[in-house]
Order: sequence, then C-alpha cells, then structure tokens
Amino acid sequence: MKGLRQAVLVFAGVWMFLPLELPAQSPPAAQAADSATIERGQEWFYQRCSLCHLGRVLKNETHEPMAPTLNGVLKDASAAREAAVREQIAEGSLRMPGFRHGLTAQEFEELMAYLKTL
Amino acid sequence: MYKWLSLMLGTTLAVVALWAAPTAQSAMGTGGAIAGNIKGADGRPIEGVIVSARASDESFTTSVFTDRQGNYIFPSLAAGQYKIWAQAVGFEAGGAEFALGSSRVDRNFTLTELKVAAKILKQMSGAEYLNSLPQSTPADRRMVHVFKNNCTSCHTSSYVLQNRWDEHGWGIMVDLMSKMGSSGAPPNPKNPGNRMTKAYEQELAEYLGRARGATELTLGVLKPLPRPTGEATQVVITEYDLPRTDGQIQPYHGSDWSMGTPSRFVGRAAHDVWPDAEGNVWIADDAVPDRTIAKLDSRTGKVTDYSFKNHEGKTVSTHTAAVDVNGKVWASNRTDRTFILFDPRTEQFTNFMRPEHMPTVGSVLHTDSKGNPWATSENGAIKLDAATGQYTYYEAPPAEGGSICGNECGNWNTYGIAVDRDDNAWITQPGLDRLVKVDGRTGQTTSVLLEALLLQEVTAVDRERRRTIRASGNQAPPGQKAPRRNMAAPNDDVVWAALYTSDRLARIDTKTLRVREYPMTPYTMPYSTAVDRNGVVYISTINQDAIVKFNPTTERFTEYYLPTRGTEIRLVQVDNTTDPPTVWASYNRSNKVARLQFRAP
Repeated sequence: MKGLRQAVLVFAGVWMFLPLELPAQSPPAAQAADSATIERGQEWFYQRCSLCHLGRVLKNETHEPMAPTLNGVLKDASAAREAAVREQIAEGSLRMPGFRHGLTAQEFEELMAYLKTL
Repeated sequence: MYKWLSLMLGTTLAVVALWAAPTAQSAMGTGGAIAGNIKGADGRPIEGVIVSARASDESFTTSVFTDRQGNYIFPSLAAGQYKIWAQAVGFEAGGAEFALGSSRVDRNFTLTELKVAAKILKQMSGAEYLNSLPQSTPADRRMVHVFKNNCTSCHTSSYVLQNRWDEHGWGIMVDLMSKMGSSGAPPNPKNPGNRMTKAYEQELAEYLGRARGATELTLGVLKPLPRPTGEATQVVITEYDLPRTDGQIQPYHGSDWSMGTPSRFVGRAAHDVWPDAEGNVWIADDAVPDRTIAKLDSRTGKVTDYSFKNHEGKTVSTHTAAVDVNGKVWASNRTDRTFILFDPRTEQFTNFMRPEHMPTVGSVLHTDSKGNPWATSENGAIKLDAATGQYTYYEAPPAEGGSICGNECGNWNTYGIAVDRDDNAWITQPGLDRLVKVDGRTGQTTSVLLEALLLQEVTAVDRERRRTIRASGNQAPPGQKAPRRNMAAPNDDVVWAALYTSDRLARIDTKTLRVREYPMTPYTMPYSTAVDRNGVVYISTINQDAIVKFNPTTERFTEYYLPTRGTEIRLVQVDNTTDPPTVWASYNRSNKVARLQFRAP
C-alpha cells in the first residue's frame, strides 16, 4: 500500500480528470442562487480549492494551477455531470482529498452555487 | 449568521475596489460616539466581547471591548452610516446598522450561546483548535506538538484544522506541503520534500485522520481560550484595509468569525510594517504585483504604492521595511538579495548592488544608530555602510553539534535580526536553537545557545531526528525552541526573542549573555517582538490572533485579542512617538494593517 501510494504521488502530471464526454441530456432546470450564497461559496472555494485549482501571480511570477482549472466545470452541466462533480468533491481521488466530512450540507451547496458561476 | 454582515462586506469591498485617491472624508474623531451594553441570555453582562464598527464610506474598521459590566464605548468616530457587530467565541454574533451624527448612539445586545460544536470551531483561533484536539495520551500530546512545529508557519493552525479528511486525504496534503514553499508557488516535481516533514508524514496523516476526520469534535472537548478581561479590554483597535494593486478582492477576510479562517490566496500581501514619526506606516510586500513597498497614512487610511524595477525589469519584492534614524526606509530586496533604500522626501529608490562573491542579503532587516542596515544572511549577518555602499558579511560560529544536527546539515536558516543600543547585531537561528551576537565594532561573533526544552512527550525518535535532520523555524521536532524574531530594548541592554515552537519569550542580557525564559499561553507560537521606550515588550503570536504585552517589571502578560480571524502577524512594531506608545502590525493572511491604541486604566 505504501509503495502504491508513493507511486501515485509522483508528480507525473497525470491527473484524474473528470469525464468530459457524457451522453447528451437535457440540463437540469436552472436554480439561480442569490449573491450572498455565491459569495459564501467563493470563500469556501478559496479556503478549500484554491491551493490546487487556481493559478497565482506572485510578484513577477505567474504560476499555472497544479490541478485542472474549474472554469466551466458546471456550465450547462447535465444532472449526471453535476452528480459526478459532487462525487469527486465528496470522495476525492488518488491525488485529491475528499471533502465529505469537511463541508456541511449548506456549505457544499454554496460551493456548488459558486462553481456554477465559473 | 447575519445576512447584513455579508452585505456590509459587499459594501466594504466596493469601497476598496474604488480606492484610487484619498476620499473626501471628515477626520477621524470629530463625530459621535457609539456605546452600549452586552449581556447573555441569562441577563448577565459579558466581558471581553469584541465590538467592531465600520462606516460605509471608510476603508477601516474600529473595534473595542466590553468591560466587566458588559459596557462598551467607541472613541469619537466620524459621522456616517455605520454597521456594528459584536463577536465572542461561543456566541452567535450580534449586529446593528444606523446613522451616526455628532451625538451618541446606544446599541445593546443580548448574545445567544452557540450549541453546535462545528459553529464554535469556525470561530476558534489556532491555539484553541490545538487545545481541543485529542491529547489524553502522551502519544497524542506529542502529535499536537509535531503538528504545531511542522504545520503552522505558512498558515495558522486554524486554517488547516478547519478541514476534515480521512487519513488518505491528510497524507496527500502533508506530502504536498512537504514540497511547497511558503509563497504558495507550485513545487518542482523533482523536489523530494522537506526531510523533517517527510519524517513525520505518516504519523501526521494517522493522527489527523483520527482527530480531524470522520468524527467531529464534540462540544464537551472544545477548549476556547478565556475571553479578555480587565486591562486586556482597554484598547482601541483600528484595522486598515490594504487594497491590492491588481484589484483582487477577498470576499471574506476574517471579520466574520462564522466563516472560519480565510484563505490567503488574495490576503497575502504585507509581510512587515514599520511606523515613522510622520504618522505613516511603511509596508513591505513580497506577493502583490507592481508593489515594492507601500505607505499607509494612518490619519486617512490612504495607501500609496511604490514600485521599483530592477535591471531585469522585475518589480522588486521586499520582506522587511525599516525606518532608520534619518526617516529613510530600508528594505530587504528579495529579488536581487540586496539592500534597497527609499527616500520618502524624493520618493526615489536606491538599490545597493552586492559584489558577486558576497553572501546574499536575507529577509529580515534592521538599522543601527547611524542609519546603516543590517540583515540576516547565509549562516550569519550582513551589513551595509550606507555612506560608502560597502557590504560586510559576518559568519556565525560553527554549530555546536551534539543533540542538534550541526555542520553536516549544511546552511542553517538565519531568520531574525535585531540591533541593540550599542550597535551590535543579534541574529536568530531557529534550527540550531541559538542566537548569535555580532559585535558591531570588532565583528566578533558569539553564540548564545538555548538549553534544550524539557518536554515529556519527546521520544527517542524525536531526539534522533533532531540530531540527524536539519530543522528550521518552519519544520522542527517536538522539543525545539526555535528562536524566531527578536528586538532590542531601545533604552536597556536587553534583547527579547520569541521562542516560536516552545511558546516562550526569552530575555537575553546583551552584556552577560544570560538568558531567562518566560512561558506564554500554550500553542500560541510567539513569532516576533517589539519593545517600547519604557521597556515593555509586545509579541505577535501566529496561532492566537492576538498581540501579547509583557511587562518586565511585573513579569505579567496581557493578551489583546484581535477582531480578525486569521491574522498571521509576522512582525509587530511600536511607535514610540505617541503617549502611550502605539502598536502596529500587518496581517499576512488577511491583507490588513492593525493599530492598537491603549486606553488609560
């Protein structure tokens, strides 16, 4: 187990990408979140996701994110895609910790509301 | 959580985004007063509640505390549309909104106790989180120290511990952290990781998976620190927003404790601040684009940015900015590893290039009585003769070895520097548990070794790692004292050093080299010190969101809690031109500059 874990933790640039091609389905009915919800969701995103999923500018240096950017991750997303994103956030992967314990149900929905604006 | 609080922050952010020139506003202190009383649901007054006030057209927040009768009163504030809010760990926040004119406005609050552990945890500082972790066994107590010593320097403990992951998740994060520098830049994939962090990685993943995993901490185990009382409530705190040059705005920056400890993705900017005699505060910045240093006008809150481009066209980054006896601002140029000087009168920079063979200028800087800058350097100190531009390097003595990894561990981190009233420099080497005195006249260097910390949780494994792995201020085994930053008394032969991983304050007699240590509140992690003209010491604590005052005569500590969660103050400074002295500090996590003005008892 230790050897397997070491192997996958090598920075080989291979990430567990979300499935991008899903069967065409009608998108779920749009549920507009209020600005306060989205603002809270943005804060959870900064607190929990920005380390890996945001690039950053540090004085003179521009750094790409270590993990996939999430722009458009839930844009016009089908119900199945949204479910897959929720699963990824909750359970994590070999390279990403799962947040099922660390976010309350309300915080999770606020984060989702923010992700839908990206 | 009050929805109006989020609206208030939205209004505040709009003000910050438009900040390009000083706003036309009445001077502070010519308006009315805000006052009131705060009690609990049982009708009893609550002392030590932080009450904050902010006008809709201002870029600063003013905070005061309730006294033993539960009463609070603000100093005279400018007229305007205000929102106020009252916070104390363990209570639902209170708030109000009103127009303030030239007369007094009274607002009373009844605060409701929180009964949900997760909500109380959000409000907690790092030390309170650590107090509340499982530690009924020596093994678990050891792990609290392991976490504190290895996982705090770049982020206060509350930022980390507000997460809950399983062992696998914590293992991913600890491994990543072992490879990342404090700036947040992605690591080189070939980086094997910091040896000390890697050594403790599996133990940390196991303990944190248990302590902050599937099972939330219960109400009964939470141990918040006592609220401030008496003298600790007699302070007015002003927090100035520090706008970024790139316009990025942080939705929440620690003012609303119900949102937990904020990320410093946007909030990291000012590393050090230093007041001058003109009412300005000079800010060193190692993160924000197009800013080398900045000046905060404490009377208006206006921030002016100054940028210097080096010979490669890069904006110079700074870690410390210090005002010398001539009123000029010296800074550590982190881009070229040189000294850089700013003249406030001409608004011109001078970058003093260093000979190629000369060791580099480090991060932390101070100036002597003649206006010459000193800085930390590679295993030593470096000084510039300001008149001639000549650099002089002073190498620290060889490491003492024995119980600490010595010469075989190579270049040891030199982190803090102070200059005493005899113009001797004092550097700290946290990985070696020592300070080094550099005689300003002769250049002789003398080691002041700290005695090993007696901690029953330290095991043979920790002692072995201390002996074989390079420690630093950021990564250290339990038992390390790690002197971090220090400052000399202006009118005495004393240097005061923050002993970072041992929660202690050290007094070093500059003549006899005798050391005396004073224990502070556990897990608070003192980071830097300042000393006023009366010899009173001020200490910033990474894990407490507080500035701690130490009176050497009474040997008593007074902890002044700050209104922001997630401050991460890396330098506290004091303005001795005011009566009483005024304390200044920069929040390295939440992009603010704080001023503490002490009220008469």
